[in-house]
Amino acid sequence: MPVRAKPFSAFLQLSEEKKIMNLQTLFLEQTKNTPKVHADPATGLFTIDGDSYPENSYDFFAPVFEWVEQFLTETGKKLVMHLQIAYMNTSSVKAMMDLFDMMEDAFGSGKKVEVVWFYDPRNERVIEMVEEFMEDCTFPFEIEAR
Amino acid sequence: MAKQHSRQASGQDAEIQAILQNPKLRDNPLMPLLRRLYDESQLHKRQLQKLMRIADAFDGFTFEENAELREQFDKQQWRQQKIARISDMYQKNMVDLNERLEYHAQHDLLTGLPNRRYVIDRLKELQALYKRKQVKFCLALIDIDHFKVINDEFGHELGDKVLKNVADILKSGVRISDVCSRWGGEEFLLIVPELSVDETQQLIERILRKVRETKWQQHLPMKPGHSKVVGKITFSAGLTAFQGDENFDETIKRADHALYQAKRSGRNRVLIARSQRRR
Repeated sequence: MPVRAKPFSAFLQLSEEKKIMNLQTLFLEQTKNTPKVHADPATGLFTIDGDSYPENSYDFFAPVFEWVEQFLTETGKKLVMHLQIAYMNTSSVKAMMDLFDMMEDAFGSGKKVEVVWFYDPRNERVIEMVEEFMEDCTFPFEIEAR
Repeated sequence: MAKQHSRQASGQDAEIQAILQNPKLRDNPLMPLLRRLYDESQLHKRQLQKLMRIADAFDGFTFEENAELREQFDKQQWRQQKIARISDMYQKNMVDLNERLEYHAQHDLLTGLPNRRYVIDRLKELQALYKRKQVKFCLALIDIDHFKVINDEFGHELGDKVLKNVADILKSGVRISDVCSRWGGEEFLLIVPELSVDETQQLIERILRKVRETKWQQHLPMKPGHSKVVGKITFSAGLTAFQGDENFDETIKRADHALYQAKRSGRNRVLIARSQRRR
């Protein structure tokens, strides 16, 4: 049976798929002082759920930064970040600001990004903190009760 | 996964160390400041690289002479203040949430009165205080009369309203130093420091009068027929004084016995435990 040459577009598609395949799903189990993290390269949905006061913030957030940076540079997909964090320590606040900076830069260069920050209606004061974060972001950023 | 990250982290560190060691920049007057900011983790890699590039371009200029650098550092400082501010808000919120949690662990949701757990802690304290300073106190158990009828005949919703209203009258009738708690069900426990049993009896009788004279029809949403039973609400109370060398369990038992006597002898009254102790 003759082997038919693949059209050039198929290669392009393959290489794009390969790129996405390189970026794997990131999943970090929730612990006493770190939130659950789940990032899916297929959908572009990145969720952080739980309190964040890791002993070593750099170690905890390194894979998060790496994944987001890689997703933003290697895929053309929209990054949707769903956050629900009721408590954060200082280094987590800093990490979150760095993450938003990264998204702001990407948004400035035409990438699609969006943040939805969920909060427990019984702990409404979280809104004040989230609004502080929001202040520096020009990309779509919502605060929703859940 | 974790191992991979620490390798990458050290890789990034090496890269930054190389920038910091760059002979071209070594003598730049801004280097010590940049190094310090990086060491204190106030700059991430990209910010540091940007500042290095600016510093490189303006080699030899001092910080004060360069507006662009000034702006960058101001931005950093502002950012640090913001991180501190958000962080403080989170800490404050955490403290408040913990306080709220502690309050709910020690108070009854319906009446807002301290609960059994709180009272037991207070009794332990008062028992210790008696040993040290002989501060006397009286203890009373108060039980709403025929409460079961109210609940069964007219439903828990009305029963809860009666409980809440009686609790409010009790609260407003005692002194600030007294402890008025919901002991369970329709039963309240009152701790009255530094009054004699007779004075305490008068205090509780005053409260009983107020409960009895309350026009409940005005406070409660009642249907025809309700007022026959709910129209007059009373309570019975058993009262005793803490005896210095006993455990408060015995004091409660004695008050409970007096309460039983009050119920048996026709309710709507405050009785002092006559047999102070039975060993």
